[in-house]
Amino acid sequence: MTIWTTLACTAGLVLPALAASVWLRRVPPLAPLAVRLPLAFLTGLGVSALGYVAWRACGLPHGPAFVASDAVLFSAVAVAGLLRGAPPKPLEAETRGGRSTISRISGAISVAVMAVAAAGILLRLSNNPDGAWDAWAMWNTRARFLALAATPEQAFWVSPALHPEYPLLLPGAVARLFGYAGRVTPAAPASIAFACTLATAALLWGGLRARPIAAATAVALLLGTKGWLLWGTSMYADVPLAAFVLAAVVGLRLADAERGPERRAAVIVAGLSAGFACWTKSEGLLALVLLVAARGLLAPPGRERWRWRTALHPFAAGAAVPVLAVILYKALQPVPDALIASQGARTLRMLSDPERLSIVAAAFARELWALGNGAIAVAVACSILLRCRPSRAGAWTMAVPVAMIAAFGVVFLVTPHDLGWHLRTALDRLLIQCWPLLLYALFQSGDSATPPEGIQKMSTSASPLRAG
Amino acid sequence: LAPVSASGDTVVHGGPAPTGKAATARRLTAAAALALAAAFAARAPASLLAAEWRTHRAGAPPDPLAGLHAVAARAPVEPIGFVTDSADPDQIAYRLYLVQYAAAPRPLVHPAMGNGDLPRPRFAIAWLSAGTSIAAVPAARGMRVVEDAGAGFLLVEAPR
Repeated sequence: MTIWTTLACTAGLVLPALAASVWLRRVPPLAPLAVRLPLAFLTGLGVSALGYVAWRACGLPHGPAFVASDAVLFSAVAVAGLLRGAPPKPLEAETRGGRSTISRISGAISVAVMAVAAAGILLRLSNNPDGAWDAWAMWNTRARFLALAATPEQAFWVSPALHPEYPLLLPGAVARLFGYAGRVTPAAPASIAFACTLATAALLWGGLRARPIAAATAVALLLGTKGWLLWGTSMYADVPLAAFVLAAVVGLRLADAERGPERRAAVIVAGLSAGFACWTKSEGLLALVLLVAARGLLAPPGRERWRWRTALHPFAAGAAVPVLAVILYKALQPVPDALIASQGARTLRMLSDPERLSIVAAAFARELWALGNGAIAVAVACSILLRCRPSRAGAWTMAVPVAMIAAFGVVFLVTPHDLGWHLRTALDRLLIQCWPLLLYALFQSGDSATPPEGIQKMSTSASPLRAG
Repeated sequence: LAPVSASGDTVVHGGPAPTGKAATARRLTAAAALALAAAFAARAPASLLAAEWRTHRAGAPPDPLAGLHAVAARAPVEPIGFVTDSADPDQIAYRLYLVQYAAAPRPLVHPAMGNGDLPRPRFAIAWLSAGTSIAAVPAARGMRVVEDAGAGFLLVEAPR
């Protein structure tokens, strides 16, 4: 990893993030810097990776022509956003919250924790430039095929052992940065790993910033979880997936504080993040389904449920392109998904096998406790001390990670692989996917979309509720 | 529904702020929570930083990828084979995937990659244990050494 390739990869990440940030300024619920920066990074990462894969699928070459087109496109998007004039004024609460002493102290603690974590992450990436097993055995090998193959067939239809059925957001993003660096370099996956690991913490802070102490506590617990740092620097897809799922949920919660067209735009961005979660890993599809179900079923009847029904269209519109990419890609793959293909008559028998049930339950109990050496217990204790009580409108956020963990349990029960091996090699990573969202759900409060005290002003233009 | 102010903006009240002893109690429990989280959090990033610093100071162990990249670069971009002298399944899997990583975008043809039914490739990458000669590996019998990067990494060509 040379300084120049690292800088080129950083430029490749910053450019789409900048373009996304310029446009997110115009979406009031997502406009505050603490939310906008991590969300812009994730949106830019997803959009640019999707664009790269589409470019290669059309048979267009990897190289300077792509980099020039990519750079011009994202610069034009950023300039177009700037030329549209000044964004709407920030929420009154935002300007008030940003000046409070408690906000500054909590922010400083979060920045200090992030700085130590960032130093550790950088050193680990420098010591392990090719990441851990799955990174070089699969994700980064797929990126090399995408970047270096001469034809789309060679780029996409890889050997069955390389899991050609897995979605391509991460390999696409890495291969795109190879283009910016001008060569295949470990700096590409390393920069994505570094940014995703820290952007999730930043987004957690941004989503909870209405209660700065709760936000700082959640960030400290996330970055204090060794597994988060280790999986993040392993260059696997689990941490990016967790980031996109968190972005979808935070986006929806912040949209709830808004009405009218501004809310619609925030919901579209949340849908886009959920779609990118599907385009990152198959578990993203599970998260998307559970998110839609939990938000719809657990919203209190009346206004909240009505609000979700009106949000479904923009949410689906945001998720549509990445989800369609996943469906199209999987439909064209000659290799079926191993888990789905293996189901049949024995599925019911496996589901009701008491021995498998006890093995899976014991493994989950062990790994949930081992996650950060008891971090869950510390998180629950802190949330009680901080009197974090989610409102009925926000209760669904806890249901999503809990349902994801339950669904993982079912997957392990019916896995075609050796159960012990599968639990040993996958369970801790799967739990890490839910960890930031669990922390967000634990530390949000009834008023987490609004400041803890005082008054928040919200735009009400074109709101059908206003008249009622 | 949330009330609408005279200026037309919807107003949401976050609830009255506590005062007196209640406020002090709140501040104390909040500080305790933050201290608990900070004490807990200090361990992982700090221990990661310390451990990685020690590894950094100790110097990097020999990287097999350097040798693999050297031999892969000499191979034409076409399906490629894999030869090893190891009999340990875990070691074979490790070497196989690392060779595929270095050789991409050349598909590695091997039964473990799920494509063993493809025709046998002309070239193969050999990863041998230190001191082992290619002549001693039955799978490479009759193959010609095209490139020897040292440390057991070779590019070999099957007889036409």
